[in-house]
Amino acid sequence: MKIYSYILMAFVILATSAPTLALAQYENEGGDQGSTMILIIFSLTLYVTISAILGVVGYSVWKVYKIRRKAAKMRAA
Amino acid sequence: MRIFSTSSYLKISILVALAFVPTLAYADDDRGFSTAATLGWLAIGCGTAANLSLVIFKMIKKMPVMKLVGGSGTSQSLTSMYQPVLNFHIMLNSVGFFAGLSHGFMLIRGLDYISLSLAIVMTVSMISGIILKFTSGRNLKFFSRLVHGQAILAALLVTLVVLHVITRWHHGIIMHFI
Repeated sequence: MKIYSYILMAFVILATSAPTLALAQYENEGGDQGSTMILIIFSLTLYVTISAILGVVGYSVWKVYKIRRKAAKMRAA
Repeated sequence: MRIFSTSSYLKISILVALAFVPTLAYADDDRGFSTAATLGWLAIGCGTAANLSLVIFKMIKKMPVMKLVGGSGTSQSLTSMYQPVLNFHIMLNSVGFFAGLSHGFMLIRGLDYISLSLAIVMTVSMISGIILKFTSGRNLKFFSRLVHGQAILAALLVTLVVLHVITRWHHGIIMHFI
């Protein structure tokens, strides 16, 4: 298994556990009280989502670029 | 650069028109909140059916021919069934997406971080799916295939849907109408 597979898996775990953590904190504090801590943890969900999407898009662009470069090298050889 | 063909534009227009189908149900009902909740469940149901069917089909297709009942005959019929299964996946996901979109617009006052994250993930999946289906450019097709098939997006989508239902349930919005 390549190193980026482990990084991707770690990213999946982080992305799925951050919202669950937010919910746990939310349930823990009763839910009705507008705690700033809960708000911060909930906002983390959005940031994790956006960074996960940017990560996926960046990874895909990098993969396409790598394949194009490989194809150009093979054509030149 | 020509990305889409004329027939593709027609298909995209039909998909966009699907956005107005769920809103018709809202126009006839004065209990708008209940309709909105139903649309949310419709979106979840459509998404589950659309994605599970494709995943199960791909799992069966990847099985060795020896293990399949009927052998190579079954394998050949599975190959010919791929396009209808894919169309079913696209159709149900489109209906589910637009039902979810209408649900979101109806309940926009209750927007929270989880709902917004869910909407973003759904939109990214939908856009990458549309590009994958209709583009003819090789690089763009490969890029959209990579984005659309990422495990992280699927995992995030499932987690956010579950959390969205749990948090809304907690607020009593759904409980009030069951």
